[in-house]
Amino acid sequence: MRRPALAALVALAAARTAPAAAQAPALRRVAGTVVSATDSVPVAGASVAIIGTTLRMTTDAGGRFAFPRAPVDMLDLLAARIGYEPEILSLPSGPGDDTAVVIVLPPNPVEISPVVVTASREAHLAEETPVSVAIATATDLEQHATIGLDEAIARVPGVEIQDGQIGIRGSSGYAKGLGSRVLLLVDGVPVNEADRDGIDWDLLPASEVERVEVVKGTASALYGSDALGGVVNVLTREIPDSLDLRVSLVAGAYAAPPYEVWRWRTTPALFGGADVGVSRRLGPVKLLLAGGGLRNDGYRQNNEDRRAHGLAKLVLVSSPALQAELVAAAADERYGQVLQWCVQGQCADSGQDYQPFRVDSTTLGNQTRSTKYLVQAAARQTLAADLALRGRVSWYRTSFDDAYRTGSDHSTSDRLGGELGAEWHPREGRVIDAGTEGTYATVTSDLFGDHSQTELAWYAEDESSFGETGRLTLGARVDAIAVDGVAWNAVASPRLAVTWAWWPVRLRASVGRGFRAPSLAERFTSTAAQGIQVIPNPNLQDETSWSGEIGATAPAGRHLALDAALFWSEYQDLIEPELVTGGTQIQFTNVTRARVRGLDLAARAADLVHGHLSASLAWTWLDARDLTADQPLAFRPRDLATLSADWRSALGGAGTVTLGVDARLIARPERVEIYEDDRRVAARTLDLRVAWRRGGVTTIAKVENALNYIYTLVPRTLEPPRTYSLTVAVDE
Amino acid sequence: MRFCAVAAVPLLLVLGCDGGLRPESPATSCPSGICGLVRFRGAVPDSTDYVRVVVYQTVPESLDQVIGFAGFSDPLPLGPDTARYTCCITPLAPGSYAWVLVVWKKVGTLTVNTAPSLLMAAGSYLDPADTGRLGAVTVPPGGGAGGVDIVADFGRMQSISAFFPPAAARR
Repeated sequence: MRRPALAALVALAAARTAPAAAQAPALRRVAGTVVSATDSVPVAGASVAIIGTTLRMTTDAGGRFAFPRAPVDMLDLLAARIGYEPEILSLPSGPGDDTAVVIVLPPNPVEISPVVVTASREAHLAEETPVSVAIATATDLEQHATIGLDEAIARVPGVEIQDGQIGIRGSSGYAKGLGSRVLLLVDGVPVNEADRDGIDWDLLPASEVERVEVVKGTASALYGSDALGGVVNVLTREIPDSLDLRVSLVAGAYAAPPYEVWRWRTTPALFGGADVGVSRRLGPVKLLLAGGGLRNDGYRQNNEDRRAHGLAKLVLVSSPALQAELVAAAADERYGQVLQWCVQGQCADSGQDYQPFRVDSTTLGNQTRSTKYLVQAAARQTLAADLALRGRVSWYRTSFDDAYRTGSDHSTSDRLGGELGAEWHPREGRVIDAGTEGTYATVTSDLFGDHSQTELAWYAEDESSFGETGRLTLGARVDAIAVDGVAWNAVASPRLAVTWAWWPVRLRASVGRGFRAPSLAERFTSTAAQGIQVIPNPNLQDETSWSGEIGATAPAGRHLALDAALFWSEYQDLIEPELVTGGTQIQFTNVTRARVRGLDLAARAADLVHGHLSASLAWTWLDARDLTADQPLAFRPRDLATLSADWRSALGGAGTVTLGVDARLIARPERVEIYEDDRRVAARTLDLRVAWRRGGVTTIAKVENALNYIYTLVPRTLEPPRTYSLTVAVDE
Repeated sequence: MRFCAVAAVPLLLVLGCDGGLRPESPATSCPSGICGLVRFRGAVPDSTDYVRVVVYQTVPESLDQVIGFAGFSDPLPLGPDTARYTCCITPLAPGSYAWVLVVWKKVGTLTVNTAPSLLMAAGSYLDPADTGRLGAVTVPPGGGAGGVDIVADFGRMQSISAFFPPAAARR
């Protein structure tokens, strides 16, 4: 009954369905274990689903799964896990329980087929999604000894993070973190800041993340505003039944500047931190508690950073039909504000034009305190094999207090959200997902004033199979937005997508409309920066886009997989900061019509050289133009390239050792909006890693920016020099 | 193994590259825009908002034209006796600029109407051949104009409107 992997994918695409519930359906219990074909070891964390139904779950630490209310008809069980080929096991119809099912997963390091949930609200194998999705797994995060989530996401091909502001395939430039064109989700719940629409990468500790899914391209048809350029979904750690204790310690130092004339301190700048996490099942609930902190001298003057964070997750497991979880997170950070480096005359310049490691003496001591609190609850109730309901509520508070020599600023913002939705499988190979969502955002600030924004949305998406291997998705979302309770504005965002298999190639194509409502900060900021006044623009309009993508993914032999995508976006009314009133003031305005198009190419290989070597190589070419001014869009590089390679060796009884290298190239942007005359260089970095794993202890020594290459992504904002770190992680 | 060889190419490129930002001594010429040295005299007034170098294509003749800068520099550091500047924050187009001056701004909201009381000229670039006249500066295409040095005297500042022709100043 076992089918080969490709057939499994095809079969999944043309999924059979359980009978509709026209009358009370007969039910049976289906339970079993997922094991590895290599050594019959149970596979924990594998996704198991009954195809064509709403029934799905994740295996526990013993690889076990159970569906107490499965249909009695013939059914197909799908099991998938990263590092294995997905498998489909067909069970014959019958009234009796089937409680000893064994699904055997053949390892396949290249055929990375994890289930992703962000590209559509329905779970899919990654190859089956109609848009490009990149995934950073917990293993990726651990192997790179990742401290901040932004580090992990910056390694994703086609993604660039400039001083905390993310751009996916050139969707965003740099605007001091204001108005992100990328939506951040935590376990599927939107958590962009309510005031600036920015993203707080330090909200969750990387050690408690199961995986990060990055949707490259407009996703407004599913997620509304902010998803204009893509979505980052951070999925928190899945909790095993047994006790799991994790301790991670990191210590490190920054190298001195490569030139004597730039030295700014006599002792090395150090950093260190610790994270502790514990999780286990306690009767009908699973519980995760984690906390940690980091102290960092900073690699620049006035760049000290102290942060602490905590996370709690509670999952209700008393009923297989009801999945419910509560997540609470908090983070506190105090750091020195580095607005830009010092130029001659502003500091002890040693006769230099600029001092990249120093700041203007008049800004020494400028500090910011930033706090974040997140509480969210989500539930999914399976009513029948063909119908499930879901709902969630969330509250996200962010606040910051700037204490500058020249004065202080503060802002407190709240984002309240809720959603109700349903997933219906009306017939064979068809899924309809629909729901409604609401968000209420408020801000109290001396920079942005006291304002609110209300968003109501309704969405529906119909996904159905055609032919032998094709799937067609048609969906739309309507968002209605009001600022301060007035001037309601409605936006419709349709999407059409198709995938089909043309052996051995899996093809995808999509076209959709995206939009982003201006953030409250973009509308109402009133302040002065560097002596220039920033004035509000309450009449700011939404920015919109039409975006499309054509892509293909295919294996090339057992060890190599290839992916290619052509993408194109036409933007209208892009919001940009503009110098107005003769250049004396800055105001956010809808000024730009723009086009961003490009090509993504990626190759990944595994099990080379007798299973020792795995590697990935990716290149993104971007053509981003401001059509209004007929010039390149600012802060968009022409090329982004990443290379990663890992060499693994067993040390007999002494564990395993992995040597890793990561190289990254970001081309010099053709245009920036400030200090255009400053010398700019491409970003070229090389990171080296050695990891030794024995039992539950992993020790990782890492050198980032090993060449001590000095560069900026944002003018006058230095990126880190060579950084040494040692991480010891214990997972018992 | 073929893949390894291909993958190694960009790695070698990265390893083989040098470059990155390096220390730079102040240039006597600038690659674009206008640059030079400002020498300060007198005490900086208490109500200072900022001091910048401001560039006009033509000398403004009315309040409406005062805020029509061709460009302006970062705020100048006010501690030292001198400050090197590069103008401007936004790129300066090639061409001739009739007035390059150091402007002192008093704390307050700058509008057309408040400009005469808030904007003061602390010093101008003068014609080296005739220091009794304003010096015009030409920015060549693809290059910059260096050595545009200015003396800024906080004890002898004049309202920006004092430079208007008499008839225009009365309007």
